[in-house]
Amino acid sequence: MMVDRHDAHDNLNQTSRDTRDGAGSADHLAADHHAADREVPLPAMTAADGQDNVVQLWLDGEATEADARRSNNSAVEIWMRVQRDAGQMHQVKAPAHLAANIMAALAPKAPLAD
Amino acid sequence: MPGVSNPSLRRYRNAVRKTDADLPLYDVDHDQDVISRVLAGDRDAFALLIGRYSDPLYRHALGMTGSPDVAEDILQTSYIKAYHHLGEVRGRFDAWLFRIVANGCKDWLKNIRRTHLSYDEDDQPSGVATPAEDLDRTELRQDLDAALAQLAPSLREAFIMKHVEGRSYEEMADLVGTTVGALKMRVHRAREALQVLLEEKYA
Repeated sequence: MMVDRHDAHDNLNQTSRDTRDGAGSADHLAADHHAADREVPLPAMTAADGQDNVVQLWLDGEATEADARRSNNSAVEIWMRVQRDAGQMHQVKAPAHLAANIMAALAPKAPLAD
Repeated sequence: MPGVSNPSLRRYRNAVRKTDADLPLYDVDHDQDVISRVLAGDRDAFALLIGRYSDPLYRHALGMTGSPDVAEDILQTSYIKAYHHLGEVRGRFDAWLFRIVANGCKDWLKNIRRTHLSYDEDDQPSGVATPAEDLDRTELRQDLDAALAQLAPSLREAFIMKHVEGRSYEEMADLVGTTVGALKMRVHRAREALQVLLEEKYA
């Protein structure tokens, strides 16, 4: 016998911070996948878009720098500068005092096991 | 040179250190062991989880907010929240923790936009450069931060994860909980928008 699942959308409007923050991640993941499915595809490409697409492919490691430069040299120059800057950012570490500050702010009692 | 004389910049540089090697991305078994110890009453074991993930999470928060002070606040709040809800972790702890931090960053960005509150520009980081590179890099960082601030938070997040944190699309998908295709689209859109904004000055 088939039975309608009246509870199938019970969590549809659940917006508790716990869910948003990662707890109940299964629901969260499912919602995100639906959102991703709805993302609108990029519009059809023009010739100029095609040039930039080679730059995008290069940035994703799917085209050579030479190809990207032939396509849009000024864009490659910009992204080389941005990537140098981003590379410096990648070396940044959290402040040394952060861990001690967090530990000092934690409640003395252990968290409850679920 | 603004990059050298700025006291907030000096404070920023004092607050960060450079690393020679990245930490391993995650270790599920190790994390579960530590979580079990914390839940059993070993509060100090939580410091292992802080040490393991604070650097990449700090970089994410710094990239999203552009402010070392805000990034530090978000990390502290996120770790405290994670500690209180540690018993609710299912699956990968690092992905769960990442979402707490990522949502903290997005909430901050929403509040900034809603209140039209402009945070102190002196707080903005400008990378860790040699003095000779200061002026150019500071200017580029400021322009990049300004351009990033014009992006939707989801595009900004995708760009930061890809280009600042150096993550693969697959790893990004695991952490954000969406598809590789959706993330590629976000990164591409972010790049397109940033390129238009930066071309005005740097092309």
